[in-house]
Amino acid sequence: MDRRNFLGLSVLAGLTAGVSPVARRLLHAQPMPRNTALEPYAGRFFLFINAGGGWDPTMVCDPKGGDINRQFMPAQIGSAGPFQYAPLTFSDDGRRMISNQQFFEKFRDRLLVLNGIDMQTNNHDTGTRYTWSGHLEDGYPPLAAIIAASLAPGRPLGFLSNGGYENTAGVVPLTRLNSIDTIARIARPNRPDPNNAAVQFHSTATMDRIQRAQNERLAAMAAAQTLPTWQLSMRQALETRNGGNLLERLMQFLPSNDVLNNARNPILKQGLVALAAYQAGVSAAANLSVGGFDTHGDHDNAQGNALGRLLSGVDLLMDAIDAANLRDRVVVMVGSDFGRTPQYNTSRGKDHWSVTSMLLMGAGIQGGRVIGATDDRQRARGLDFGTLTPSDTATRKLNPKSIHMSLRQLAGVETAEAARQFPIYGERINLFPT
Amino acid sequence: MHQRTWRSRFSAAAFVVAAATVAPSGCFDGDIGEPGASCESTRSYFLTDVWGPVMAQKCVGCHAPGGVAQDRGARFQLLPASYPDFADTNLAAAIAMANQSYNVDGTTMSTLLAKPLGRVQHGGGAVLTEGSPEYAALSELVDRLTSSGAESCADYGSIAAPSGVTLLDWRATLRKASLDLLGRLPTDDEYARGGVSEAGFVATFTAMIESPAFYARMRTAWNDMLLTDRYVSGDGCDQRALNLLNSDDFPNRGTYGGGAGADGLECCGRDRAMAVCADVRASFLAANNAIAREPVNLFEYVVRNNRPFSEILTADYTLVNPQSAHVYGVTDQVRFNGTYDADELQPARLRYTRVYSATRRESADFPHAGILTMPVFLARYPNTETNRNRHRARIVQSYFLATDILKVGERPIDPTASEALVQTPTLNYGPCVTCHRINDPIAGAFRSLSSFGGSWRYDPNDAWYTDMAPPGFAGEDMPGSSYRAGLRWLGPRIVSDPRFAVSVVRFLYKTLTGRDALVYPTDTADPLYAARASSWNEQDRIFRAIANRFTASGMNFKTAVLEMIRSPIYRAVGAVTQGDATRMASHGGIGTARLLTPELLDRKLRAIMGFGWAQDAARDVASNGNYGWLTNGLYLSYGGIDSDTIVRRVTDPSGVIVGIAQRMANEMACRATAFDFTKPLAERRFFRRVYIETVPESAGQSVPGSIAQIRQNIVDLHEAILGERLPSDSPEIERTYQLFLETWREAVMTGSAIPEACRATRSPVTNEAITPAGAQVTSDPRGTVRAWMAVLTYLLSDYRFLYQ
Repeated sequence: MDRRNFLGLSVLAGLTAGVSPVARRLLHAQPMPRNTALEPYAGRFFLFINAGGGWDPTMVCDPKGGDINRQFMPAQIGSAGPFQYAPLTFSDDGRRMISNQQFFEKFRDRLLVLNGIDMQTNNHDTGTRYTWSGHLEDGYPPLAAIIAASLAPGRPLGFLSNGGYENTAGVVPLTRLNSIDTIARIARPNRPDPNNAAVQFHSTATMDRIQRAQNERLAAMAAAQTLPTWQLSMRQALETRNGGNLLERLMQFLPSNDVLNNARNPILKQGLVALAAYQAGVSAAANLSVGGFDTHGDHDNAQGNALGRLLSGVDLLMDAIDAANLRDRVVVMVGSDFGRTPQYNTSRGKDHWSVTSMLLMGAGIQGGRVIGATDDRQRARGLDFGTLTPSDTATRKLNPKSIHMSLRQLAGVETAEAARQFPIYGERINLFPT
Repeated sequence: MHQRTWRSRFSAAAFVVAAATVAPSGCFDGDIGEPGASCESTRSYFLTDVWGPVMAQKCVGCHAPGGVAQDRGARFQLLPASYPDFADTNLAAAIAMANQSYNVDGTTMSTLLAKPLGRVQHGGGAVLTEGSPEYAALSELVDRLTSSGAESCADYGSIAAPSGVTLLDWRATLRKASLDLLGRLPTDDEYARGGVSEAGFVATFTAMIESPAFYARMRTAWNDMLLTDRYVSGDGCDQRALNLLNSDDFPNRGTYGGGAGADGLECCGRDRAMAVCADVRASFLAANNAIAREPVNLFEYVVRNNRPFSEILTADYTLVNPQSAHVYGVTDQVRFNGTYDADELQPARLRYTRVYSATRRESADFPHAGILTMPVFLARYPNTETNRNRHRARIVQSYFLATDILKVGERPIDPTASEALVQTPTLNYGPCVTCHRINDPIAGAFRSLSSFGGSWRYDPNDAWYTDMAPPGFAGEDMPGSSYRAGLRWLGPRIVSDPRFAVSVVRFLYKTLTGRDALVYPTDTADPLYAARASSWNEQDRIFRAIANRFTASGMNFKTAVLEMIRSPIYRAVGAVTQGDATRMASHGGIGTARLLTPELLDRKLRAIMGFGWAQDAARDVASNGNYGWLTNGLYLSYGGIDSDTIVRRVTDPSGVIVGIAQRMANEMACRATAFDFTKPLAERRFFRRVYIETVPESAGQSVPGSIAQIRQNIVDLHEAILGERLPSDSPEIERTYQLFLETWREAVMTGSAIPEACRATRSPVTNEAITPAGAQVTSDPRGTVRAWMAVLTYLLSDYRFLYQ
């Protein structure tokens, strides 16, 4: 099928939008040459860390004390540079302790804190979607998917996910890599023993011949197909077949099982695999995820445990990023569904609250800053979008829409096809000045 | 005057593909009832000409729940398209309004026209002008709704094929459905009876699905929705489901614990290594898993026994095996065959006992309401102090009423307003009320099962909240006499709601396609709005027909399965759309095009290859096929779920999935090719037309007879593996032949060795050594084994094999 004809069909095929297998991006894509080796991705890497369930920023970066935080009084709130932090220490499941003081002192020059984010929802699904896609309504992909589709199309682990918000809306395949034990078998499908290069099922020439015939047949079928559901599925299958050569590279970078087994913190463990995928050039964005934040009961203990895993994981992950000499190439963002109420319920728990915070570090992010604020009852204060300072006369509040418009700009995908198909109409804010 | 011949818009065109037929005629969206009808229904007219172009743009903004019109007390209310039953509800509202009238300047005018024209008091003023296309459309609707002609165009939906859409023929449909739902190929006899006509297909497949494989397939699908396999354990001491029961309520539960039992053994601790403890732990496991699988077991029980599917929410019993019967203390109600078979299930009614004080206790039948009252269902969707069963209400609506309440209520909230300006915003703050007035009464029906966290306790006297809407459903308040058994009151109401049948159809659609049903477009500014609406209409037409037939059958689940499989949703493989953009627009909701799940691919491999893709062939054979890569080591990587943290199947192929499929194809081809040549010609599965010595060239010259045999064998392979019947001179056969030929030429130039793993010394089917040794194939001096191996790899990694 020639491109003109394909595009004619593709416009109509958009009617299946919202249906997972239908890749909107494919509708406008040039047919890819078959059997061509993709270059490893070498742009920035984006790690999105999801604190699942709705975290409590008042126990970290937006402390209040007193009746909002029974563990400390306002006078005990600590500070490190521009940051205020809750005077709390958390346990990473007994493996190590980490205090807010340690965390904020360590990252005071690298960290950007966004406080007083108006989420406009206290629903888990909606909040998670808003935080990671920048859009309240259903059907929008996470920024990770847009980045992968725009910057690293065809890479086999373009969008690697360990949970969190995963509705890709079809812009890019979602990849889970639940175990590295089997990756060699997957990356080296033509070797009976993946670790023995001397023996192959088929000669290299035959394997190439098989794959060429496969791609030619699939392309012919897609060209002849006239039902949108089938045609788009075929085109998506065709595109995905091109990343196999890069999976082999992943083998060179994956940490050993010993290293992963020792990295018992879930964020670190997920992060090490994600970093390996990035170093191999097969991934541009990854979701890391840790749960336990939906603390409707025994909030201070339960939330503290979850925060221990999260902050310790981020701390260890940043060390790993530095050790790999990737400080200037990796962006890390921490967010959650929403915040938690400024009052405790009768089970000593805290319920859902539509004001939250985010943490950002890494390439292109000017650290040592706090943008946005809440008042003494943890309500979002107005923000002057020009000066980025809290203002009680300002009517605008910091919100995921504006944050994502900035993030898209930071990632360089603002005008990419996938981003244009899922536009965000918000108020511009320059969170990441160059 | 309301007749519209839709077929005349599109001329039927010949379009032939293998194993497919083009519907010569039939209904298009807008046609009504059964095939052959040709008038456009009022419902279709309303959706196509009035809802989209007029009401969705001019009216719903104010007349939606929580909108300005509602705030001002307007009677005319419209539901946005995010409501599942918006079409029927809005048409009903339009009918009511059309049949009311005003006297305007001495002329009687329908309210539906007078209001938007601003000819009478209308809060929104004049939003239409006489003579505009919108007015004309609305005027025709009024004409339809106020004349008797509307009665002749009742719309029941239809599963007829849209004009020009290419469907699988009945033989191909039988193959596809058999592999999909039964994990096997049809027999020759089944093909003969069910592969030539629709009536034959229906009769044959109706008989075929009465098999354990069908129920295994559906159990996976039901769990995909319920996710209660989270509580299934592989170790009797990992008692995820048993832990949900309170030992005070079920005293026998304590004997299934890890502590010392009556026999003094601690089989989950100190005495774990004792031989006798293996049996003890096996009984723990059987009890745990029977409780974990109660919901799925009930689904199967209802369907297997052709009981109304509505029983999944109304059954006044649960299902127990010998072990869970003991835990629940209901052994007096059941009679097992004496073997203590964990798979034998019997219905039983639980009893509860509440001890309120030394002198006051209460004991009575537990108020079962199908799966709604089962421990794992309630634990999987837990209650919290502040959630107050709302999550459960949301799940009930999502699963059984086809309603995503979050979409209904999806609107920004203002914490300042909710906290400071109103008391109890869920009752008083508009944006909250919209959703909560629907959701909270259903939450109230769970009132006696409201314990928090993971425990499961029934408290018939549980008080309900005064700051929530009272228990009820769809505007009907629950009578106080039902408060002790709220779910027994709710269940029958849910299954009587037309949305219940729709939810069953949508469930089946997702089960068979991997996709959610289309959502009616809401963005009227979208250039594709009309196209999306058209697509939705076509899918909706089919869904409604299936739902109606399901209901008419007494809610026989198998009827819905059969209707879905007969419909264009399952059978459509192409359309005559070249250059016809408008027609293509209506077909976005039909066709499966589904990446096989790991379970489906595993079963398909075993059916077509005769053995599975196993991590360890010996263990796989010994375990009767339960040790496959796709269902174990690579299950999650190929898109499976664990029902706990990974609950969404991956439906789009990723690089990892492609890598797994490629490896599968290589390994299976490796094990199958040489092995097939060890057998006599007539017993072979793949190479019945050729010998291992059959080569295409000799001394540099083509051998026409051999080439013909090879090509015919390739034709057979395309049919056996991909289900496509192609003529031997088709381009696809030529492509495969060239792969064979070039690989063969390469092989004969590079010696006779084949990888050890691919040598036929043991049967991959039985794992037994191939005897006599002379029958084994351990080398490839003529190059044909490697050439055929390449062909098998090619076909096993083909799109048509990996998708359906």
